[in-house]
Amino acid sequence: MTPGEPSDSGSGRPPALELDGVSVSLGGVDVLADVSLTVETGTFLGLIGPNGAGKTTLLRAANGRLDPDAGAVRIDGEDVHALSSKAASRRVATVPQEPSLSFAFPVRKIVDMGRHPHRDRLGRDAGRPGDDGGDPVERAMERTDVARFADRPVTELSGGERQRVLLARALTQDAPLLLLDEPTASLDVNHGVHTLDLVAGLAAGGTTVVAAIHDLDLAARFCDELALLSGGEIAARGPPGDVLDPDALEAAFGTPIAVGRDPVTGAPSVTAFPEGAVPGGREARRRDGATGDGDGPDVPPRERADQEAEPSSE
Amino acid sequence: MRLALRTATWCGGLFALLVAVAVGSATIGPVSIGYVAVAKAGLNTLGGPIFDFTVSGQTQFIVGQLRLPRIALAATVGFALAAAGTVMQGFFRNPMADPSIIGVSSGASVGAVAAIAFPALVPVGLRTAAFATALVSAFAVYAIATEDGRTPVATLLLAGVAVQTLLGAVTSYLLLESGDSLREAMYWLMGNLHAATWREVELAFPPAVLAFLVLLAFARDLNVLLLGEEDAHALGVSVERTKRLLLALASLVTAAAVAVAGVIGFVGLIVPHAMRLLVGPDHRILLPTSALAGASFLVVADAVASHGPGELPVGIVTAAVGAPFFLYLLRDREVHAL
Repeated sequence: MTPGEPSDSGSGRPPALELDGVSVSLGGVDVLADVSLTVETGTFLGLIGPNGAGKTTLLRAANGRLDPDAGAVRIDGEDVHALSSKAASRRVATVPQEPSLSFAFPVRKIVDMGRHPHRDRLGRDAGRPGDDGGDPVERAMERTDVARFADRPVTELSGGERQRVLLARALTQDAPLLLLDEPTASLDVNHGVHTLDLVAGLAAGGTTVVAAIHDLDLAARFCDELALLSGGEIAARGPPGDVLDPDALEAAFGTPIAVGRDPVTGAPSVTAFPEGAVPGGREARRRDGATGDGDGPDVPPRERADQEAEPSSE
Repeated sequence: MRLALRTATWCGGLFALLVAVAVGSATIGPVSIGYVAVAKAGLNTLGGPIFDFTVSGQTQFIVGQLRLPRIALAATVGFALAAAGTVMQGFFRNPMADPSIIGVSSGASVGAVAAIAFPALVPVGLRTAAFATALVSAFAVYAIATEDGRTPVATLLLAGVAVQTLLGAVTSYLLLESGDSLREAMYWLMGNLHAATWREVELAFPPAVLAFLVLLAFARDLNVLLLGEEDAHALGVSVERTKRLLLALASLVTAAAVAVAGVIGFVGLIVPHAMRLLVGPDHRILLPTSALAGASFLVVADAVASHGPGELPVGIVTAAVGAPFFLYLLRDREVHAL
């Protein structure tokens, strides 16, 4: 498959997100070089790649924050830069990587700001759903497990708790396209899995999700598809089992990499080694040996999508 | 709606406080006048044809033409500076931001000192000169910090500091060359309300209130902007356009205040901090309460300035009271976290 080509196309409606030959340079450095990427509605796409590969930049271009030097970004067929900021933010919600929450707003107020795109200047909320499922703010806080500290100042929370507050805010925004930049970076193991499960559930319900994820195992387990970014270009794109190819990963990350299978989930499991320190030599790099190239994992990636968007109770 | 109720309660209380300190301040002076007489004379002046209380002509004149204009100007200037300071602190996400952070006051100083020291060279009058140079300086700082339609806040801050330093040098030079008018210039630079008439109030009040109302309509956007520009964009705030508007309005309000009252420091820095500790960071309640508290604060500060051992520039009082209070906040409360 050609990198960047949509995995399946042919339906009449425009893709949920389309990057068409996007190039971005920041401070004179080319960060994205002619990137084309199509994401169909309801897909959970994981962006993987080494630090500095352009994952964050791609997300910032996708939500319209960055003006690409060349190319176009279309959301549901509409050029994101032709939309007003408010209109764009009703179509795409973003969870940024580093929460810069230095003002002592209570959590509930931060989450409530997710309704900002739907409000007019007098604060009237045009899109607030009436009686289906109650208050979107409270619901989002329940789903992300932040309702417990809804009234605490956000400045007093830990990094992981803040990250979940921002996810709650994005859910409150109620947009058909959700972009996440390292949503699990500072989460502990239970909340990391919970967050990705929640997001996968959203995708199963029709929300399109694009998430930069540095943990390749988690990405393989929860994403429908992966796109491997390397040096500002898309090096590979497809189902996790295809993209997590040791040679492609080694080329992108610049270090020996072995791909095996997680004994519990059956999803691809990636292990990186320092240069020249591969135990058992290169033969050991594909530890599951039996399956040939690109068969993909036995367990479908959206393994827990049947739980829908309900938070798993532990 | 809980917030609306809280806002209304706070604003009601602070407005009552403002009325109280205004009446109290108007009773003090070389001629002592009772509260009731002050209230009657004040209503006669402000209420026009509606009120017609019987007060002695002398009392009516002292309250209506000497004391009230000064109190009203102090309240207007305090209101304007505290509102602009609140907006600037939110805008810059920086607790050290004050209304003059992009050079409004230093610009006004150059214009005012030039007009005082060299009236022949500046034929437009002190107020106009101060107002014009204030806005020109603010715009220059903005233009210097803007590239490709974007104005990074950090660049704006540094450009503001640099331009303020430059303008400070110009002002110092003008002061050295000002000869006999040095004392008058120094008075202006430290804030003066002692020459207040209703004319100054008429000049400063409408722009201050109008700009305040527009800023209030952007309180939600300012809240979202506090989360950082990336987040603000993601939440549908047109970041650069909103920044331009907030900067322009806050600078306009500040310029109007400085042009009529000189440079009065610390009101726009201290009052928003104190109110943020009391009501929290939400600008829908913070902006109106700060503005009202700023009005009361400056009325009290000016009462102290004018009725102490000698007539002091009010800027000395605000700084003398404000700096220790700020240091107290800094040591005692977590001001750095806003």
